[in-house]
Amino acid sequence: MIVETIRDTHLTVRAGGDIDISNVHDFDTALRDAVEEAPKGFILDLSGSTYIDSAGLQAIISAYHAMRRVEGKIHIVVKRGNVRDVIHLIHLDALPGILVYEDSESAEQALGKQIANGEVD
Amino acid sequence: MSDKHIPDGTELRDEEQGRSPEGRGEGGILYPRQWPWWAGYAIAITAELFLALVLWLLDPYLPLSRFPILYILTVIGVTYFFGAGAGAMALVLAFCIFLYLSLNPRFMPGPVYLAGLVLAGVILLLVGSIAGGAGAYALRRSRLRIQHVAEELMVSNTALRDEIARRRQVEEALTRSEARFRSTFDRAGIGMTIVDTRGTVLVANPAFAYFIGYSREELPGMNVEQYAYPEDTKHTNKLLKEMVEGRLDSFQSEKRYVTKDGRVVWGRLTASIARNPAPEPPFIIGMIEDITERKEAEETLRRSEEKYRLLFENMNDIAGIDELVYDAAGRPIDWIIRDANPAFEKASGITRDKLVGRRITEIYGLDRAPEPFLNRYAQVVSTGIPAQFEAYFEKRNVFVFVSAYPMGGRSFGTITLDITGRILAEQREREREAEKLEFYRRTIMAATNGKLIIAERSDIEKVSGQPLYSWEVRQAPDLPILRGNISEVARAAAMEEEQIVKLSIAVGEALTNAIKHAGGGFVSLHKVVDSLMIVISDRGPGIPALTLPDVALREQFSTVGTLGIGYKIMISFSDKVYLATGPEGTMVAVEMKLHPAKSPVPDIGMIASSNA
Repeated sequence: MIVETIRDTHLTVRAGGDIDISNVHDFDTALRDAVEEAPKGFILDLSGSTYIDSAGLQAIISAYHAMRRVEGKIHIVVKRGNVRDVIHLIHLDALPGILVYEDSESAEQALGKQIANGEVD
Repeated sequence: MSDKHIPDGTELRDEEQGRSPEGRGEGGILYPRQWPWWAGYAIAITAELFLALVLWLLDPYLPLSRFPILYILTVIGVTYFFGAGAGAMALVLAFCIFLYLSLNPRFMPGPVYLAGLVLAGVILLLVGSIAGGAGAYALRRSRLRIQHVAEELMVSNTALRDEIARRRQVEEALTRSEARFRSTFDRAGIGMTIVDTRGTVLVANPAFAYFIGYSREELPGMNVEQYAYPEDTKHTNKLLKEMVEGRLDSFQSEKRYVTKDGRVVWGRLTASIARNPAPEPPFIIGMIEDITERKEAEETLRRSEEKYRLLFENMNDIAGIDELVYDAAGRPIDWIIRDANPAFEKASGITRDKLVGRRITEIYGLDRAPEPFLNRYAQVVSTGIPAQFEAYFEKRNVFVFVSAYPMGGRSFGTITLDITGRILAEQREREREAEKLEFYRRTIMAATNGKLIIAERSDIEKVSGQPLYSWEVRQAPDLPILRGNISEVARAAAMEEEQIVKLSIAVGEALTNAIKHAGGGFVSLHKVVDSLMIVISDRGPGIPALTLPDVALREQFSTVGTLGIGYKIMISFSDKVYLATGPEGTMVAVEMKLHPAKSPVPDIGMIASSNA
């Protein structure tokens, strides 16, 4: 797994490869830092990841809980496939603070709009 | 008494010493015992002849008037020497001669005179001899008689002396014995009393005075009943009466006494009667041993025994004392009931007399003693360590909880509780638990469209069969490798790629659980008909039954955590998940068909939501 934090217009956490219990620590740390740095909202780009297990999902859930307290949102970019299936399976995409997109452009637009308006539909 | 007797003895001895020389001189001057029997005759004849010769030599014409004097002298001499008989004869003879001579006053000397003298001498000689002989005979007779009497006297005297000596010895012995008795009486550690037949104390020793609390001076004159314990007197009085009446010589009795200060003490009385010669009344010697301490100890023991006996008799638990029976080879084969309490009787329905002394096999009509019991009892007896165990007694169809205690030798005690009720309740509880589990199992299966099957380890092992591969998983970095391995095997088994990915995800969750909750486990891969089955087992704490519905059914991940997410993923991404969980660990089997089912896979989200 490769995890990187990109500070552009918005803050983006990009994770590639397999996210499982063996490397979930780095993933979790990156997410925590992101919550701290961009409490309003950040992008989690999982378009490059091939696998995510329950531990990885748990890290996202923890970040979601932290964001809920400050009413921030996580904009997740994920392609069709197993990772998306898993996210859908556990109803992550149904949570009010999590928004899922197929491409990063949509995500960035939505995040920019959210910060500008303070709200996202 | 001794003061009087000893001088008496001394006096007797002096008397005897004084008499002894006299007693020894048998005969003396009067009874020349050593002289022969004819001595008297010889002396008489010699005296006559000598007298006649002297008379004739002196004066053949001696006036007759002188004869009486001479004869009287002779008579005196004979009498002196030979006694009254011979003297009387000599007197008669002398008188006869005197008479003869007196009748011839003018007797002329000459041959006639001489002849007369000779004749007189002959007559004198003859008569004197006869008289002397008779006298000597009589003398001898009398001497013999005297001697006999003297001998008899002497014999009786000796006997008397012996008797006196013997009596003195006896008396001395008695004196000594009495002194000894008195000394014993006074110094004895045991209480002693002498009482008369009416029970009046004559004398008591210091030990008894100490025992009873009265002084030695107070006791004489008291009646034994004054210090007797009222309840005990009846028995003792009966025995005393029998003794006084001569039907009993002695008796022993343990009885209570009341001391002067009112304490009750225990004594063992040994009473014996001393019967005196007729006019003297008998008296009773009592020896009283202080047994208060022993009695108190006995009483304590008795109370304690009674307490345990009461406990034994009244306890609701079945209690018994048993003894192990061994065969010739020394193996325990049976046990004998030595005692059984009423609870035992009640529980077995057999009376004590039919239990005690019998073997367990005999009591219940068994071929062999029930082994679970026999083995534990033998262990208790051989090790001397108590044991507690539960066992099923088939003959009576009861479950029992037994506490067995060693009692020395081959004996052991048992306290048995009938726990059939509890065992049955436990069984029912287990059945209910199983039913509950079955309910969950069925519910979960239904809720997951038969995809999550709660099973037993053995069921999983049966379904999976022999493994094709097996690995060990210890830590997180093993995960990608294992997933890779499994994917490779699946590919080799011609599993469709879509399936392989799903399988990899499902197995990944099972492995994650094993690492997270049990610190690792074992993974094996099996081929089951048209599926691959991956079995992951660990020795972790297991998943509590109550969390299973959550794991399988809850939509909200927040409360379920990783475990719930993991199972949701496992169920959704495989065809079937078998779960066996318990305190000994968890076993999960993930089954995936080599080719996807013809029917479209239902929306994975629907599984949970449709059942929520």
